[in-house]
Amino acid sequence: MIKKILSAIFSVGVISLCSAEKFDLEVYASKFDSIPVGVVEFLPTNGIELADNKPGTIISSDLDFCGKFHVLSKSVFDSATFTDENIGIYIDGDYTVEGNSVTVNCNLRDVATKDLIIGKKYKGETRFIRSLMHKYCNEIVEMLFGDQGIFESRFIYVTARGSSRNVTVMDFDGHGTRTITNNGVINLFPAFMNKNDFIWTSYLKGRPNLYSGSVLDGSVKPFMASRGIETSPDVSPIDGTVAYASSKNGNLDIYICSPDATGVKQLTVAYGVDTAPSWSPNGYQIAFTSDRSGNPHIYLMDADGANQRRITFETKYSDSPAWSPKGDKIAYMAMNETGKFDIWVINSDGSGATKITSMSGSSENPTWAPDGSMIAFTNSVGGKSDLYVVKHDGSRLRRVTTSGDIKMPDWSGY
Amino acid sequence: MKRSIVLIAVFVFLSMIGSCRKGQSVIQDTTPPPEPQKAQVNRFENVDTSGTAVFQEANLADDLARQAALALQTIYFDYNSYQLNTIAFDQLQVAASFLRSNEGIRILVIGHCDERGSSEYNIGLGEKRAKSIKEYFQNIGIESIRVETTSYGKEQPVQSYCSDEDCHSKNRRGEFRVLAR
Repeated sequence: MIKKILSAIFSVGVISLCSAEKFDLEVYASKFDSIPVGVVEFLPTNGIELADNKPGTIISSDLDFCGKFHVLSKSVFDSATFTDENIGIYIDGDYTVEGNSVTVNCNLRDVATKDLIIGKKYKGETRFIRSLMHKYCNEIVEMLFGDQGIFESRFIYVTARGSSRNVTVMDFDGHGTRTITNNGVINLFPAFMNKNDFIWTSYLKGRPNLYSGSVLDGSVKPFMASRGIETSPDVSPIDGTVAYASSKNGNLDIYICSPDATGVKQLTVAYGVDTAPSWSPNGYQIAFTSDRSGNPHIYLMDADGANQRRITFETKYSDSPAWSPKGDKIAYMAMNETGKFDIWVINSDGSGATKITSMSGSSENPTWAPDGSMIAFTNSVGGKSDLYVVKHDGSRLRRVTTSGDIKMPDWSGY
Repeated sequence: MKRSIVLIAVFVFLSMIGSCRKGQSVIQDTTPPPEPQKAQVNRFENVDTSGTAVFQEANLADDLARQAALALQTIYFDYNSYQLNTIAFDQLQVAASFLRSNEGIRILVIGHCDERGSSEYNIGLGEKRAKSIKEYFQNIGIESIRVETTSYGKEQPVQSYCSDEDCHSKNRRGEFRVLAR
């Protein structure tokens, strides 16, 4: 990819009569932990202005969200300020609204010469402009880092208002919330199975069992039920095997089954409650919560149930493990002296347990971005519970929502 | 041995004759009448014991509903515990008595937790509370099929946003529902 850019730069350099230096993106990117980039407001070409969801605004917040960029937005190009802030590249562009569709030209330029480094064009329905700009930002991340961008990822979570609990999806940045279930019963612990299907716990039959559903058409199918409880599903990123907790043979134990709910295998048989399974990204291990030693703690085991071992010892009550897609770390929630929870991160070999949040409310239910760059979690104060994101080392804590009704989030794949 | 049997037989024979009335030939039948057979019907037929049954509440007649409400009162638990305390035992005696007197009644016990602790684990703790109550009934001979259990964890508190123990304690409970057949 860098080769393509370098040859594009070379050809641009040849064509232009200017004798300015050719801009080397790779060298530029390598100088910084987070790449400084300017964003200049996009202008309408035909006088029809977008009232909201302006391209420049969306691009700025996307690039700022992911923690890989230091973004400075301006309404017009400002060479002096950009240079002062060591910003060597900037993004500007234009858009054309025609009927209910929009065409957007996005330009990545060199601050020193204003030369075009690379230009991209997007067209689609105006109501999907956020999606178009998310695609562009994914391409920026790909160009500059060689990584897949997370800007088309989503959260599925429980909207908790009073006593109602319904499954809802929203974009990674909190926009586009859409409630999927509206069944008058309690719905909990949704998890994506793939881009458009999800599995969750519902009391449709008066007790918690597992169901699968589609975010596209809201259709629902029973997935796994017994006269006991089925809850806390997690789907393997390797082959879709579903891990979950069931009490059909006693207190809650960890089970796995195929994506079509056949081939059920019981993995834990311990006295006590085992729940909240979380797959390792290579599908070889499962983290889970167990109270077999008294209070709930995080345990690991092989995907066949062997080698069950406790890994949390610093905290007196730990739950809700989430294995990083990079495989090296596990996030979880642990109770502090006030009885509320903080988010902790531990290495997957059990070493280095570290508290990464210290907020005044209760921080719960961590879930990782698909590239392992960030952890999302909820923090609740009083009755309001909102979504936050933070890097795995506790830096760059950002608030994502203000609706006050977010619980049990699951971050999708790319 | 043989002699005494013969004597008994003679005695019986004579006493049977002796009870005859002069002039009538009624023979008193001393064979005890057969016991009326207990109905062979399973009291819980048509109960779906698979995983597909829906837990639905019964629609009881007013009088029975009142009795049920009085007898099946919510049981409360100590913090982080699923053990039955002494008050619970007293309440459960009353509940058991009601169940014994109304053999057609099946109940659902729903376990709940206070808002502290985590959502996932509290589903399990709530179920442990419900199962403690079920175990009490089983230990005194009430059939297992008459008592279903489930849990709402901390998702259905009766009091929200608690700031003191008194408030929290109202949420740590096992509730009863009468199930439809």
